[in-house]
Formats: sequence, structure tokens, C-alpha cells
Amino acid sequence: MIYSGFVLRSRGVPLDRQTLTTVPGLSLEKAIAGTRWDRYRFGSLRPLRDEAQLETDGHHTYPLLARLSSDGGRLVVLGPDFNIVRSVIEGELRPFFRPRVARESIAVHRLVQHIIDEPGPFAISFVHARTAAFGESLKSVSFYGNDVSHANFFRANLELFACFAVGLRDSSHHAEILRLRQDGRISFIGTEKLRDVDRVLHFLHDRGFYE
Amino acid sequence: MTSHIAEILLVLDRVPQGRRIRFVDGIDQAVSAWTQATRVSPVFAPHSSVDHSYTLSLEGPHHLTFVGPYPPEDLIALWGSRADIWLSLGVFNNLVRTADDAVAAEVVEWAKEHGLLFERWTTQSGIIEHIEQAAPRATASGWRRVIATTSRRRIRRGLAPLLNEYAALLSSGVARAEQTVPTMVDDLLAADPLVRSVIAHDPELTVEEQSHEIYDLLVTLNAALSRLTSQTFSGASPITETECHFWTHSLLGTGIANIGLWKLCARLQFVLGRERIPERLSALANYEGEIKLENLDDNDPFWNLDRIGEVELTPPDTKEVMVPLVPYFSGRDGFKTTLHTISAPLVAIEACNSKQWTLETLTHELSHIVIRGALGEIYPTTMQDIESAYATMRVEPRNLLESIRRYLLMTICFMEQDRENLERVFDTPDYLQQMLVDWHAEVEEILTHVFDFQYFYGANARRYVEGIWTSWSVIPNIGMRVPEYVVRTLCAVLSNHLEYADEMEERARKDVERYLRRLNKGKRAGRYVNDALSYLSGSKWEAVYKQLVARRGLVRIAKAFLFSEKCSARIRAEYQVSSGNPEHEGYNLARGDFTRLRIDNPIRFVGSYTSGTAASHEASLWMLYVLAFGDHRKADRER
Repeated sequence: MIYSGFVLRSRGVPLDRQTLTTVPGLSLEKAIAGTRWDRYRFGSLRPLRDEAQLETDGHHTYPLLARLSSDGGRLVVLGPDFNIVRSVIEGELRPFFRPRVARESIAVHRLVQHIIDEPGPFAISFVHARTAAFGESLKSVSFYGNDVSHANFFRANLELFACFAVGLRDSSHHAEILRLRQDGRISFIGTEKLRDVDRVLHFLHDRGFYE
Repeated sequence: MTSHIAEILLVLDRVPQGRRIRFVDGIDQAVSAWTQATRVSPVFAPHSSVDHSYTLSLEGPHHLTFVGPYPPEDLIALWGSRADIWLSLGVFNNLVRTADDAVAAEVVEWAKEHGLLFERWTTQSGIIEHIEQAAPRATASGWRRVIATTSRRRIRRGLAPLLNEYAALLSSGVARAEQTVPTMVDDLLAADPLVRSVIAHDPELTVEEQSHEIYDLLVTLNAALSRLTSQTFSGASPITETECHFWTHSLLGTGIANIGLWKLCARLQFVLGRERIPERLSALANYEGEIKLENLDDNDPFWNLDRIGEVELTPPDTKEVMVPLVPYFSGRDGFKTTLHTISAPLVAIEACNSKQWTLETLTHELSHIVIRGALGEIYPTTMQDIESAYATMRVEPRNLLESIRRYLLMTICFMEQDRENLERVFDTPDYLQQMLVDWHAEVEEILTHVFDFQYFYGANARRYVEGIWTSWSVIPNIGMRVPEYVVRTLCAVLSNHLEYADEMEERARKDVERYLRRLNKGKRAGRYVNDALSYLSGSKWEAVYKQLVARRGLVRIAKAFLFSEKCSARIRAEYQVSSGNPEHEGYNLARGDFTRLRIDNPIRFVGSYTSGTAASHEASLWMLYVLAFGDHRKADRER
């Protein structure tokens, strides 16, 4: 399953797991061992993914993954579809979430530049960027590879691009860990690499890539 | 998310019981009870960002808490479900109305915690019973000494009143900015070194020349500073005592619009200045060798090399005096630049969402500043320059800069020949001097149009043609100038077709005609467009075509030696995008949504969200909020 969602930041008062479990419709299923991730289920009276209303009792349930940072200042919420998470955060549970959290932005271009300047634990598997150099002739570009930032062409021309989405993988193997967007969207496949995802999230926090 | 922002007027009156505040639904209701003390300002309910309907009644006890300047996101999130949050264009841009004492106390505490300015008015059936204000901020004192020193400089007696006015104006502006918009202080103080340098004795100028220079600077600067400070800081604390003279905003002022304009101009000035395009052009003297540009084929690869982008500049001199550019709104000046001031029309405050009054027009004004700098490198102005240029025409150029100068002179000769129907020109330095004086303004305009088109419109002919002709449509009495505007528009678009040899003018004509017709179909541009279209066919086109051919060289110079893909990438870079979608250039901002206002590049934002010709106060308010708060990193917050 592809999990997609947002990185959110607290508006001041740190969040905790107990507060999350009091949110109507949200129920904690289990903590995922060895990580900061929890599995939740969210029950909604309306479909959130444009799916047909098949459930006879009118209930729709969706699995969610959530991760609270150790200081309660940041919350990552993911689901099987980006729109589901958006509906939960900005629709169904807006009275709970809006006063408490705001969408986080991720400095994707700066992150890419950093990986070029200081190669470290993560390599770039893809980049989407816009370019303002060529007017109407060329407006966006994408790069794919096992180590995009290692390509001289990419490094030499980075100043022509404004990167807004990036895929990261571990420098020592090829499988992609996750994908990030400037507007705080995050996605990855399955739950097998949650520890790697944690490493990336720590990296973003420690190196100041949240804006 | 759909945009729905309801506009209401907030009215402050004096009645026998004291000061009265009320909401009314339209200026007519305010006017029908107007007194000598009445003040009004529009306030807006951001309905798309809140969940409940608002009440206009202030019957019984209420608290009206003004907070700002601050992006409304946090206030909407924290109290949007428990109070009415109104947005204004004043520096107190958030108004929280509640009858709940606890909510009002929370808002005040929160404002204090965040170091924000606030005023809480406690009212009983609209009568203001008590006003609580934020404590004044601590201020620096150094600037007072600096301005006082400037004001004591010896100056011709007749100019002293201007210098006194300047000192008082700047002091007022800085003192108020310290309290309200501290990040504006340094930009205001940048005027002082300039004034000192101009009034210092200059041995190269006669007394009269220097007097004229001082007079010109002080009159222009004083007018701009006066408007900027009165517009931005009216409506600041104490609100009841700081009336704005833009009368439909007399209660709260237009501070947010001024902050938005200021940030937009500052950003443009910064990104253009950072590229140091005149210096790059000057550095082309390092490309040695005999290059006769006039002999190159239209599609010679040389024209497409990013010469100025490849220039490696030495680090800038950090001691160099920062050039001030004072931005303000003016009903009379409209869009206008001088060396140190820039203005936008007052009507843009309520209509900048539309193509007629878009702030994108400022790019043209700022492009002029760069082009003037570039012309300083290649356009002969002094007699010594002209004699040297005269010689240049008769010897082989030694480097690329000399080649460009020579090519520019030859182009001006072609233009002169075309206009005067001459066989040849350029017989004497005197003739050359007169010709250069005559053509300077036109050369500057053509280069500016191409520069603006390539850098700021991304060479998008449709957006450019529709944009500039729609903005011209609202200027009265320019019918006589339509032919020259047609030529300038064609020159800008010609820069997209330079490799097409003999077809280039026809291709430019077709583009311009297509987009003017499109504009005409939508009835957006008025009679000037009809008139312009008549110059694109028949005998009128033949005359325009000849002018266009004569100006090819200017277009080439602008495209090949003033435009750089690398510089463009930096000038137009926007990192706050999240998709490659063409709509809104990848931004994910929703019009009317005040909860996410983040941008990095205000001019890209303005270009992406200006649409249509229907002026909307609400849509303009949202755009001005994004401009004022878009870079709302903590360091940029006005606290």
C-alpha cells in the first residue's frame, strides 16, 4: 500500500498520543514496535475517496499512520490516499486539528542542494523541478536515477531549476525510502521501511529543512 | 476552496455619548449619517476560512480587538470558531469581535506573548468605553543623531526648507516604522546617505547645477516619503488619532497594501540588483577579438550564447551605499519611477487583481532602472563618449563590448535613416550627438520592453500583449501614442523570432495581431486595441514594418546581451511551488484562503494570480495579504 499524507506542526501547545485518542472517530489500533509510528483507524459517515457508498451501515473506515515527534511539535499523518488525509485534517476533524496544527513546508530545493554539497546518508532517486530560465519553451523537468545528484549534468545546471519534489533512498542501497514535496506532502510504500522513514524525518529536522 | 469574502464598512463616529463604532453594509449608509469626525474602513469576513456566519450588531457589551500587522492564519485557527475575525487593509489587519470576555482576554494575552501590537476596544452598544493598547516598543536612538547631522549640513538658503522637511519626514517615518513595521526602518534610513552625498560639495558641478540636483532629489524624495509614511502608518496605534487621508480607508489606513507594495518592490530591486546586469555587460570587454555583429547571420549560434550569464563577477563592494527606492501609492502619479521612488496607482489597492491595475506593471518601471544602467555602458552621452563613438565606427572593434557599442550606433543610424528617409547619416560628431539625444528615450523604451518581456513575462507573448494593452486601456488620452506602443509591443515579441531571418517581423505581427484580436473579442481593452490592430495591416503595417526592421538591432542587443537564461532562472525562481501544473505556475495557493499565504517570489505570484478584467476589492485584498505576509518566516514577521 502507498501511504500519503502531510507533515504538520503544532501551533504552540505540544501534541501527545493521549490527545489524539480523544478525537471523535479516531481510534488507536497499535503502536508499531521499534518506531514512533502508530496505527489508527478513522471512521467516517461519508466516503472520503470518491468511492461508492457500499457500506450498509453508512460507515467508512480508513487505516491511518501517525507519528508524533518526541517533543510533540510535529505530527505526520498518512493514509492510503492523500485526499483521505486531507479530508480528515481539513474537513472531518477540522475543529480538532485546525487550532492545534498547521501544514509544514519542506525546503526541497535546499535539501537537494545540501545532498549535492555534502553527500551523506541519502541519495536522490528522483527530482521534479520548475525552471524559469527558458520562458515558455521549457517550464518543468524531471530527473530519475539511482543517484541523481551524482550526475554532473544535474549538478552543473541546478541553478536553472527550482526543485519542488524529491525522492530519497539510502545511499547504500537502491530502494526508495520516501517522497517529499515542498508543501509538506510525504509518501512511501508499505510499512517495512518505517525506521528508514524515521531517519529521513530526523534528518529533515536536525538539518533545518522544515520551513 | 472557493473564495467568498464579504466586505462591510467599519465606521467610527462621535455621538453625544462618546465615540461610537458600528458595522454598516455599504458607503451609502455611512454617508447618510456622516459628521466631521466620521471615519470608515472596509473590513472583510474571510468566509472560506471560517465555519460560521457573522453578526453585524454591536448591541450590548462587546470587545473589538485589533491585532497586526500579522498574517491571519493563527487567529483564524485559534478563534475562528469562537469569534468573528475580520480582515482589514490597515496595519491592524486583524479584528476579533466577540462578546465573550474570556475570548477577548485570550486574544490579548496571545498578542502580548507574541510581541504583537494590539488595541482592545471594550464597547457597550457600540459606544467605546475603554481602550487597552500594547505597550510601546523600545526604540533605537542612533538614527535621530544621524538625521540631525544631515539636517545641519550647509545648503543654499532657498533649499533649506526642503532639507528641513526631509529631516522631519524621515524622522516621522522611522519613528512610526519602529513601532509598527520595524523591518522597514533600514530601508527608510537608506535615504539618508544618499541625501548627504548629494548635498556634499561636488567640485565637478557648478553651484547652479548642484542646486538643481539637490532640489530635484529632495522634492521627489519628500513627496514619496510623505505618501509612504502617511499611507502606511495611518490607522496605527492610537487608532482613534491617526486618520488616513485616503478617505474610504480613513479609520484603519492602507498599511497592508503599502507593506505588500514595499516588499514587492524591495524583492524586485534585490533580485535585479543582485544580477548586476550592467556590470556583466561591461565585463564583455574581456571577450577580445574582432566581432562584427552586423555581419553575423540571423541564426548564427553566436546570438544564442549566454554571454552575460557566463561572466564571473568579483564579489560586490559591501561598502557601497544602498540605493533607496521609496514605494508609495498615488492617484496622480500612477505607475511611475524616478531614480529613487516608485509609485503605483491608488486604485490598485482595490483592483490589483485585474489586468488593468495589476502590480505586474511595476516590472516595466524597474526594468527601466536596469536598462538605464546598461545604457551607461553602451550609449554615448558625453561629448568625449560621442567623439570616441564616432571613431569606433571607423575602426575594427577590439572586444565584444566595443562590438555592441558599434552595433548599437549602427542601429540608431538605421532608425534615423528610416525616420528621416535619408540615404545615409553620420557625417559629423555634431550630427551624431543630436541623433543620440533624439533617440535615447526610444532606445531605452525598446530595450526595456524586450527586457521586461523576456525576464518577467517569461517570453509569453499572449500574456504580455494582453497584459500591457489591458493596462494601457485605462489610461486616458494616449490615443496619439498607439503607433509607438504598437512598435514597442512588436519589438518585444520580435525577440522570440530572431532566428527566422526575413520572416521574423511577420511572425511577430501575427502573434501580436492574434492576441490583440483575442483581447478585442473579450471586450477587455477598448478603443486603443482597435486602433492598434489597424497598424498591423495594409499601408500602416508597411510603415510599422520598416520601423521594426530598423529596430532589429536593438531587439538583438537586448536578447543576446541583456538577457541571460541563468540570470532569468534566479530572478524568476520560486521555491514555494508544489507541482509542475501550468495553472498558477505550480503554486497551491487558493484565492480567498488566508490560511496559507506562503510565497518566495512576489512577482511570479502576481503574474500567476492576476486574471480577468473584473476589479475585485476582495480578490485584491487577498493578493495584497499574500504580498505582505507571503514570506512569513519568523524573521520577516513585523514584530
